[in-house]
Amino acid sequence: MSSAEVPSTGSSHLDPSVVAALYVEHGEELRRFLLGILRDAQLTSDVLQATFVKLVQRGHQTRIESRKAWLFRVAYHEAMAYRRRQGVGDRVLRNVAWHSNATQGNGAAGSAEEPLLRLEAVQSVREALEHLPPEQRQVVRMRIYDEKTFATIAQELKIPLGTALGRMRAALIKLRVRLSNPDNNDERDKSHSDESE
Amino acid sequence: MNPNECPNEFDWSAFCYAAGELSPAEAEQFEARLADDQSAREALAKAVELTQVVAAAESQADSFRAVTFVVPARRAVADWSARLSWMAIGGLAVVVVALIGSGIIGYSPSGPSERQLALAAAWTQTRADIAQAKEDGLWFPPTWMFGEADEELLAMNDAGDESPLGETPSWMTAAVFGLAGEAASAEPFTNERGEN
Repeated sequence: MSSAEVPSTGSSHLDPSVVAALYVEHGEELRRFLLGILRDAQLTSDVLQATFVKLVQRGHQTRIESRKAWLFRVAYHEAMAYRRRQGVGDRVLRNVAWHSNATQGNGAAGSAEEPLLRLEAVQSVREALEHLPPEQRQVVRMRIYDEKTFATIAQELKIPLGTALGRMRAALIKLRVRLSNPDNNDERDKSHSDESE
Repeated sequence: MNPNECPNEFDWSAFCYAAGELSPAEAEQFEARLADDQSAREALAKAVELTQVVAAAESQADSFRAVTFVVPARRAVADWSARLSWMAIGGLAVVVVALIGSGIIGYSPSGPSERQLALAAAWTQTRADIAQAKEDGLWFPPTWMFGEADEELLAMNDAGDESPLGETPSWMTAAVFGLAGEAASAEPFTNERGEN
């Protein structure tokens, strides 16, 4: 059942089943959004929890159709407030452990079938990675897996910074298509193959 | 999201923000959009997801590489076993050569040893005695020599045809080989057998 179809109880608090349904539906996307801001799995979990506490307290004041946007807005403000309180701002921004968060970001809060969906996505993206031109894949790997900055990558590969950025961008376009639709075939990749540097 | 903005441009900004690749001013600008723009928030979530999935995929690829790396390592172990075996064989050969050289194992390249000659002489004498006994009609070969049921051989012997005793028996050959400790030393006896 979609959250948009879940009626509120009209009381001072949202029905727990409504909160649970919203968590199942949007929790994982919210977690990723928060991780993008906070770059820390533990902080992300804390802020996600705080966001849903707010939903329990004030969710009954929201319209069903706007609850997703409301959740994201609350999460954003909670995250920014958290960053200010913790003084983690730029310090965290430059000290990211990207994929150490990757495995934690899909915790128990997700739906039961989510790990399967993610495995499928990983498999699909892995195939897409294998079809990337070697120079693009190299940049993707160095940036995301080796956590090197684009400046470092450009320096190590002895290429202009713009070239490194261009390769990454072209690769991401292809990978995003594959991630959005794991069942797509190579034709969709080909449609973007000309967008490289 | 700015309707005139290319979606790819928007996604790229989200990725660069998530990756910490934006300058402080650009990051602040993007965060300002996050405050108001739901599509910007969803783009950020998507960028993080993509990063996670790519990292997981690369990690998987690394695991496969690790597995293929193990295979040559096993081959290396097998290579070492083979090398050790050859080294052991080589060492054994050296020991044998050393024992032969020191005389512990008898080997006389110049000809048969005294024991071989004595054995050959005894056999020749025995054959002569048997031949004499046959001429005198006193020779009855024991059954253990040919087997109880081997009537054909007994008949052949009785008929005075070429006697099995004319050939060097296998026990004799084995004894000579044992004394010599070397197969090549049997050659004089082979010739002797040929002469008979």
